[in-house]
Amino acid sequence: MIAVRRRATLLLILATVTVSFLADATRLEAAKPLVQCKITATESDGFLRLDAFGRSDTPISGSYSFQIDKHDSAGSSLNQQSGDFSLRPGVDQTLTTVMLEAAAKGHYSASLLLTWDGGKTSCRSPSV
Amino acid sequence: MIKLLATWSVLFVSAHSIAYGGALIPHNESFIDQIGSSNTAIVGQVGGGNSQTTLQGRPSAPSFNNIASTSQSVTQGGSNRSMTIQLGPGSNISDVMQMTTTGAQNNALTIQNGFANVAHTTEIASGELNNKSIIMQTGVRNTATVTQK
Repeated sequence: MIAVRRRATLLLILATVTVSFLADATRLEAAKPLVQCKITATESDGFLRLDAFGRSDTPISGSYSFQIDKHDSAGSSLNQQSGDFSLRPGVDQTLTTVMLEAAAKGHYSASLLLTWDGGKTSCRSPSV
Repeated sequence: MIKLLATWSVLFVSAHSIAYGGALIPHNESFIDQIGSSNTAIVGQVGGGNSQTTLQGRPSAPSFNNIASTSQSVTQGGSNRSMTIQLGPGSNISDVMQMTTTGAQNNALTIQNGFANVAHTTEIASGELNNKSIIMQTGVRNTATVTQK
């Protein structure tokens, strides 16, 4: 009888610890912000406009690095832009903008890196 | 008066000639160093080779609302070289225009940091791969435009 009680007590403790652990893990997962980045390329008035965007589901701050490397028959250009960002939830926020000549389309490579406390994400244009 | 006192400018311009194809072609070199706010540096160079350096602001000294405008044209011989560095809280404008019709090279370097800086670089060369531009910006809401033909 005592052995059965001890076994039941142990099982109860084990179940409590397991539930507690899973709950903590779920909370940790939920607390992890979803931060996304994207680069858009649009042609307008003879220019190729590259916009770097950031988006988050929670308010978050960090820093960005945007680099555009272009090589074509007209020459080469390297743009490096970096700074801090502060994103509002659910809003595509423009971080920075670079303009190239329209002929640069198909001859450039752009990369955007967002870093914040505890994470980072990156994207490219053209996307690979 | 205060602004004048706060603005310390060093302007160094030299022009010398080099022999090119039996003719003397002027080579232009210019260096501008400005500290303070709301400075304007306008440089126009035409000749057989042009070099321009413009420094505005210091990391340790507040400096904003600066304008650096550089226009360079090679008519024969050498190349265009431009370097513009603007440091401070921001609102600086850099405008670089380089043109060659002789197969010479255009080289432009622009460095800015701070808030809402604008950098424009336009390079036109007659030969292929003769335009080179580097723009580096740190801060917030900076924009850069590079046009090469």
